[in-house]
Amino acid sequence: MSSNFTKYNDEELVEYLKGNQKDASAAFRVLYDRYSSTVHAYCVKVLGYSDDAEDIFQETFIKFYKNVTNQTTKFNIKGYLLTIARNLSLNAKRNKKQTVSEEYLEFLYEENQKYEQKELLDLVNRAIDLLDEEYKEAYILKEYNGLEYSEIAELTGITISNAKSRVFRAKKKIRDILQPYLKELT
Amino acid sequence: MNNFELINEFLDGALSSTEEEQLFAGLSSDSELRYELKQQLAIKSAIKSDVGAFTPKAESTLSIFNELGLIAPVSVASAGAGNSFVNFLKLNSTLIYTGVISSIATIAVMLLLLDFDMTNSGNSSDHNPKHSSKVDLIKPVETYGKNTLNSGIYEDKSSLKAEPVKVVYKYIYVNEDNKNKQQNISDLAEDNNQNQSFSSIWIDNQQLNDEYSFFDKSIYKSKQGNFANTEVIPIANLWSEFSQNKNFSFEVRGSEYQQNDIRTSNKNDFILPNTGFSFLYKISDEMKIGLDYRRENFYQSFSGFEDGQYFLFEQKPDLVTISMMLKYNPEFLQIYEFKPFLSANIGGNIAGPVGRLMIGSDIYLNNYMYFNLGVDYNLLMYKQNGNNFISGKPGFHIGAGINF
Repeated sequence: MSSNFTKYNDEELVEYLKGNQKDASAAFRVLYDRYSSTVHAYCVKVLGYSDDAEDIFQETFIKFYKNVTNQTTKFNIKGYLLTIARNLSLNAKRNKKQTVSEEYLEFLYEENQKYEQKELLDLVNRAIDLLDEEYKEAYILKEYNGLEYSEIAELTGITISNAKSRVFRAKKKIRDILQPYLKELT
Repeated sequence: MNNFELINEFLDGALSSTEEEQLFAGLSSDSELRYELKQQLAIKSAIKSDVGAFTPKAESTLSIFNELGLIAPVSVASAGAGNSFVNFLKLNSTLIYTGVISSIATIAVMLLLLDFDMTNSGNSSDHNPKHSSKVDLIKPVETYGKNTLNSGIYEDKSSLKAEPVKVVYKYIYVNEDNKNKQQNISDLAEDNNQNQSFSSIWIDNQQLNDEYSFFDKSIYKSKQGNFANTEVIPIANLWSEFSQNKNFSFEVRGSEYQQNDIRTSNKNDFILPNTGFSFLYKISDEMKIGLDYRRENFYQSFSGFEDGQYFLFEQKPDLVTISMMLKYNPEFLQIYEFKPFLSANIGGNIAGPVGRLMIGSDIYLNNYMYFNLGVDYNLLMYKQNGNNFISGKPGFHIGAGINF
């Protein structure tokens, strides 16, 4: 039963992944419970809510499972999963040029409308889509995936200060884009 | 540091305690600062509420687990509701197709190789058991009287003699066991010579019981020397030491079949007179596929019409049945060490194709040893004198298994 495996840490679960099928199933379920939301959020935020995002999400865990048994050294599962997701997403994005403009936010906004959480979330998502890719990714890794700046730096291959700067600029831009709508909230 | 930077640092947890004190003091007096804090908190709150982003689709989850051949979380499986079986089929489609095709091929080969028409080989006097792989001795048809169906079946000898009925009795004795073959044939031949002592089994109950117990003993003698022992288990244990994955299972069982005919249901002198074993391969945590071998010693009778005449067949088969077996232990039904199962068999024996459906439960002692209990329903299709018949009977099984 999976519940028996929740007590194990990531390293121990990885060891079980290398064992028999029953233990591997149980261990994988626990790891999936721990990290699927993070990986899924990354995929749908970077690629948008699309079949591509779902495909990348699935492929990430499949690759993870197939590769993890060959890992002999300790490693960060969350970082490893996000690295796989990132690489797959980058490949997917090469074949697909996203064209988003600020104009499409206009139709969402109506004067004097009281925005609820759902509408605000929609606006935030649209604002995120307007960010440049490097800012967008850093923002997603920080706000959605809860990574530290050092982890973002390591994952994306930039310096910590650069990671911090990207996140800051992304936040500022989102705040600026949403400024007229946020007034309605306050 | 402007208001945006200040609030951002605070939310990042990057402010020192002194800076935090200054921020809290500022919040009480600075409406712009409060406004900035509200805005950034609203954005963070909106992101936290993004359930769609943080919740993978059930289909994606199932797809991942299926692709990897692993069992999906119960919550996802239940979310899939009616799709779970479909997903299972999709997951194991290749193996299931292989199993089904193998079963069909097995049956086809058996149909081609075996002559299911038990009367084709002629009467017992023409049959030479020494040169035949199967023995299908048939008592010459005995016909009594006319135009009454089963009214005379259970009557005693005197009533039959007094008022003959048009009932055809046949005694079919099927025995694949070479050791007993000769003895059984001799017995039958001897009884043939004694003129209708077999065909008139219904005539005298005492005579009937004596004769059957004689045959029963003959058959059970061979059975007891074969499967009713535990020598296979140590061998399986030995294997388990060499295998960590426990992808294979070996099961042995004893069975009791029930024939609906009350008078013929208690012909067996022994409890669990039928034995069998299965060799299974685990294709997933819930599904096993493999071969099932059963030696079936049971008495059965069944009736039908032939050329407008009612007749009664009686069999004391000693059949070896080989079948493909699919065993499903759904995880969502598992309670502690009880793992309910549903199994299906399709195969055949010397008489014809066989199908079975069993439900029961494995009861695990540890990771690799278990007992099981089950009830099943068995269907045997066979051909007699050019006519097709189906014989069905329920059975009770008790056994043990080992994973290795």
